[in-house]
Amino acid sequence: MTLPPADEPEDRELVARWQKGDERAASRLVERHAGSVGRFVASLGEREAAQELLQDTFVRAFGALETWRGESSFRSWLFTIARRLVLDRRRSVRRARETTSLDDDGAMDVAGGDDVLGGVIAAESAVRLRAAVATLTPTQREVFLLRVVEGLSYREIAGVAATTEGAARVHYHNALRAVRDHLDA
Amino acid sequence: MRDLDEGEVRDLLPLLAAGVLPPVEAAATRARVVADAALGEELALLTALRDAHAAVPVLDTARIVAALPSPRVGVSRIAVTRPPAFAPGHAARLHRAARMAAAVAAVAIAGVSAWIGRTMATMPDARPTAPATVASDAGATLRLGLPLEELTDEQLTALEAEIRTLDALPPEAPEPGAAHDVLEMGA
Repeated sequence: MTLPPADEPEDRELVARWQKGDERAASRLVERHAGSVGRFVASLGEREAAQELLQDTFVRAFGALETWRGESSFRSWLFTIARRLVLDRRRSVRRARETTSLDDDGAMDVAGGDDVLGGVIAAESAVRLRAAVATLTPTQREVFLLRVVEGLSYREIAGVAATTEGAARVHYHNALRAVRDHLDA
Repeated sequence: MRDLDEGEVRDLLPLLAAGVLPPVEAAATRARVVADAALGEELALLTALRDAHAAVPVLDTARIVAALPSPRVGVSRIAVTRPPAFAPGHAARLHRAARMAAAVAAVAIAGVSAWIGRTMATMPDARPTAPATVASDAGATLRLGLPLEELTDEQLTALEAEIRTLDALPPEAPEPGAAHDVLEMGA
């Protein structure tokens, strides 16, 4: 569940509190969003570096909070920063000729994911579903998981994935059709 | 809430699966799903896909919090700090003083400009001029460039005679510094 409970302060309020010097507000924001942002980073194929990337994401975000105008949700802003960091990391690793393409990263994620997850997903059906998602193009997979797992609006997805709202919608529906086809085959 | 068409419901299904739909929209969407088997099947698939990808990697949030920068309280305080309160009439006095200062500055600038203009008008032209040439009795031409003491009597006499004929020079005795002028012998 990604919505804060009714008695919990909104992200905007926590940000304002932190800016006034309340460091506990930062802890609450991290605890609230670390899971979903970490999961998103892992879904992009960076499960091994998730902790490091997540930490960098929050450090960058809190270092530039003056630039967050609240037009997007704090969570989708974190996704945007995390995605940028993943791409930067991938570029630097690629320059060092030590990495594979985004497609291959996804395949590695599926193949080696169970070890890292510690048996959380053990059911055969879950493995099949993940394998089906792994067949998607990188953009389709990113959009699809942001929609289905994180529950972002198309507008938010467009902001995170640097695309348009309409394109995000098309990617989502194409991805769903491809997953169905893979599971029916 | 208005009735949703099938496309809109399908667009909302992943959000229902993710658990982010507001209660009213969630209830309306669920009602449509119950009435439509195809929608029900799609929601089941999306929920299964969501569960299959819901696992969160092991994360140390305390480490993340420890790495965060401290809030820049000073910066935000500057933005919200109100200017200090002044006594009544302070702004009017400040405005009057500023106008007075501007007037004084304008008068000073005008005075300085006039003084500079007058000074420039009375100063001799400092631009270099072509050297004066004087013909000697022997037919040679004297040019400024040699010390006076090195000239012969005839040359001095000729020079003096020529100098008297020059309109540009004053008829009285030359200024004291003129003795140090340098004459240059030309061809």
